[in-house]
Amino acid sequence: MEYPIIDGEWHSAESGADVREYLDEDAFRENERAGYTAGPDEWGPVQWDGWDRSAGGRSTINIHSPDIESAEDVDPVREQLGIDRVVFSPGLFRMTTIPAMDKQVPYMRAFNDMTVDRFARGDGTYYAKLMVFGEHPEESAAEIERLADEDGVVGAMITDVGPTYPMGHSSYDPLYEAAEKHDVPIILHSTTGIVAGFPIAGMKPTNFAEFHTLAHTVPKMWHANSLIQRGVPERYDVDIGFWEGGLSWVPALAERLDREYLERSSEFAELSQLPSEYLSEFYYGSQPLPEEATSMVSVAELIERADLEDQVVYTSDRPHQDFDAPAAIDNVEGLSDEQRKKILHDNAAELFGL
Amino acid sequence: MSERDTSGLRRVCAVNDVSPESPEVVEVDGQFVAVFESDGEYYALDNACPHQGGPLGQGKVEDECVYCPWHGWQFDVETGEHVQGIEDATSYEVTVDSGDVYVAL
Repeated sequence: MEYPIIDGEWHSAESGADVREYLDEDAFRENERAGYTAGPDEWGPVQWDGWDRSAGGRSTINIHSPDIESAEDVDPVREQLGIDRVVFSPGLFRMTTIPAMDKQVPYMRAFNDMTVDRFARGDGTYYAKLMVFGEHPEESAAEIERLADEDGVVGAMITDVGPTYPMGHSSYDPLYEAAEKHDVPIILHSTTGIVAGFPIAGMKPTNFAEFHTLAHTVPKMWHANSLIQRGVPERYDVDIGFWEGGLSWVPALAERLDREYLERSSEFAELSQLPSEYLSEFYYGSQPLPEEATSMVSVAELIERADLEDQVVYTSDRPHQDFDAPAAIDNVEGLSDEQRKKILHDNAAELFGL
Repeated sequence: MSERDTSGLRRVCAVNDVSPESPEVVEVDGQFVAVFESDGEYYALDNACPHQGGPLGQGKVEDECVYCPWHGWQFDVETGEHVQGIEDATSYEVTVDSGDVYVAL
């Protein structure tokens, strides 16, 4: 079966300098040259936040790629991996770690201008998500208003950790209104960059492995729980995607949600179906897939029982260290050819309107 | 005169092409072979990591193990054995003769 393979997430890998170019205030841009987003052209194994993501140099870290300046620069590796279409995600999404709140908004705007200029083409190959910040929902809504209709812009990604509320909170309403109006999905993505707040506050991990194991997944549960209990899917016609959290948390949350709902429905928003059924309507990035050796998990069975055949989107997470080549989907046992096609093409095409 | 019988083997590179810090990757009949040196001994593995196909020849070598640069999977350079016991890399028997490295494919 021949069909174009769509990657729901390839990080644009821009440097701080790339983003700073688009800051629109001259004095601010000049001051920031030695500021928070400054750094070497290439970081070593230990990155800006003190984490060694490479296990002592044993795997290659490639978060900021100096040789990637625009979409077409990923052509060689994209072709090598057999990927036909890419929906870029921000690279420098850890800008939510900037402690000064009033700096985040100009950076968000600069980032999105850079994305539209360099990565969102709408040419059949390259598409991109805007970046929006949870701490600034009104300004984020304004970004969607400003740029959602640009060629190649097909979604908005939110860094879902930091000093902010779970995503069912009413402060996010402007974001959902804008996303609904412009028909852009909101994609949740965590960061292991040290952000004040949930979840690292209190986790006290010994090293990166201990943190990274849970860093993406726990926030997804936190947000999905909140979105459903506060009735966001009932109030807004917005597609929501959970990227890089894995898949097995979905039935774990379903189990807890339905039990809690049946015991305390008065504390939930007005729902028209069981909470677990909303989980079957969200979208999920496939990366990182479970290892085959983890015998207690069967992706094919999970997709069947959770009714996720039309919801899982292949994501590579290039160029990050724990990426999945498209071959990883072929390696999942028990999937039919039709299901593989949905994961590698149809679901992304539907979600992003490709 | 050859000190070892290298008939039936494929020459992949010269010993000088390989160092502990810099393995050599050679294509032989469409297959990519990664040649490693460790403590003066030479080893060869299929360059494609059994996990997701990453390039073992670009991996860090430490304590006679190579770590695939894609996801850090750890293999014994001599036997190809996956240290964590999930899936081994393919190893090739290596013969060194007169400054050249040969493998039995």
